Amino acid sequence: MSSLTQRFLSALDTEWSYLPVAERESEKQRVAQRLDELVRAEQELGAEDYEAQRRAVRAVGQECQLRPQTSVRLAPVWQVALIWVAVRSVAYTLLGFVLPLQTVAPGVMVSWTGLGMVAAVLATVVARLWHPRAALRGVLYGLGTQVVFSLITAVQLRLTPLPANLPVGLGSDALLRVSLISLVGMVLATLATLLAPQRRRKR
Amino acid sequence: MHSPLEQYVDTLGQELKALPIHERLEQMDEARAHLDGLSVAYQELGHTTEEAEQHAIVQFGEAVAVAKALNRTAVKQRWCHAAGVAAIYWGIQQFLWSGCYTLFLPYPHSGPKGWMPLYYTVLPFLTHLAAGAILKRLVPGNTLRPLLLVTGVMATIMLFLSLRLGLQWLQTGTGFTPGLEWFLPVIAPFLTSGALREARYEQQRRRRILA
Repeated sequence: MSSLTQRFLSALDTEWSYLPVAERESEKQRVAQRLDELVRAEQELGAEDYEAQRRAVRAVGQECQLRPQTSVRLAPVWQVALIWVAVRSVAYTLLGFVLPLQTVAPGVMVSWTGLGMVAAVLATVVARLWHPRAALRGVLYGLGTQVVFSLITAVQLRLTPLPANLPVGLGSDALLRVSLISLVGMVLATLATLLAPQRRRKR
Repeated sequence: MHSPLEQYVDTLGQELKALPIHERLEQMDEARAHLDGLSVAYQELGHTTEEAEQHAIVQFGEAVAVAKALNRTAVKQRWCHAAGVAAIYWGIQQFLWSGCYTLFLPYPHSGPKGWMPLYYTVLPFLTHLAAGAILKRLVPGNTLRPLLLVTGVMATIMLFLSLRLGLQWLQTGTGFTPGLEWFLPVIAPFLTSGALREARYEQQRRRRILA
């Protein structure tokens, strides 16, 4: 076997590394056989050795439909929804490190609402970059799930006893109010970011 | 004896190390087609074949520089894909975790003391395990790089959190520092996504090539 076809087969190993070993080996044997046949056929047609290998490799590569990455087997809308949720969560956590630790003191909550809005804007921008056409619906799906979870959490906060280590004066009413304000801020920031470029396009 | 144009295409192919071989061949073919077009245009302007090829090569750019740009694009594409898949993984995990958090919220503070480790260690571990299994179905064979990215982000968050809680502990004498069990969920997705098998296979392949 020549060096070009060998390099091709070793590349194939990486491409198909997700297949079980037995299946991969049998596929590789099949491809190697096909390569040999094609190289011989090209040589019979008068091509030089290297040219024959190159043509065979290209033909087999196209037959195998090789791609550097496996495409994500999920509808773009849901890809965008998940990316939005993920980026918002990571941005919120990382940006949160700049704020003081006493997170539930009344004055600090305003900053946390602002931070949630910044995280939502960042997440929406990233979601638009990932798939501009599916961004609107995807972000709305992501936002919808977050709103549902936040509302359930808010209800839980209202119904269950609060931990004893909260600062004095912060009851469940205050926590609920703050959660709802943060939620509204996140929704507004997301919708504003989603709609802003569309308005510009209309002009 | 190869023509200057063929020599150029060969050099380009040798430099395109970041691309899989079939893509490398496609890029070489595309470059050859562009160069042929330019060469024909120069010949129509009255140049000899060799002069026309030299002019075409000069206009196309130095092979190493062209290959570098193409390699960079491929590497960038690969990492963008990995980052997107990592974000999708994180979204799945967040979705599962939010569900668990909502369901189990009343228990850590008001329930029996035994709930605490379940809440902060076992539940995240289980959600990461499940998210890993889902990722395997979504992007079979491409989970290693995204999960390494996720691990990097999680490690950064944990580092910041440890520093922050440690500083608080030093200043006030209260609070706590995260234990090793906080880092356990990081390894969970590697167990169910097939990433370990990918890594093992890649290592075997390298060894075989070196042999």
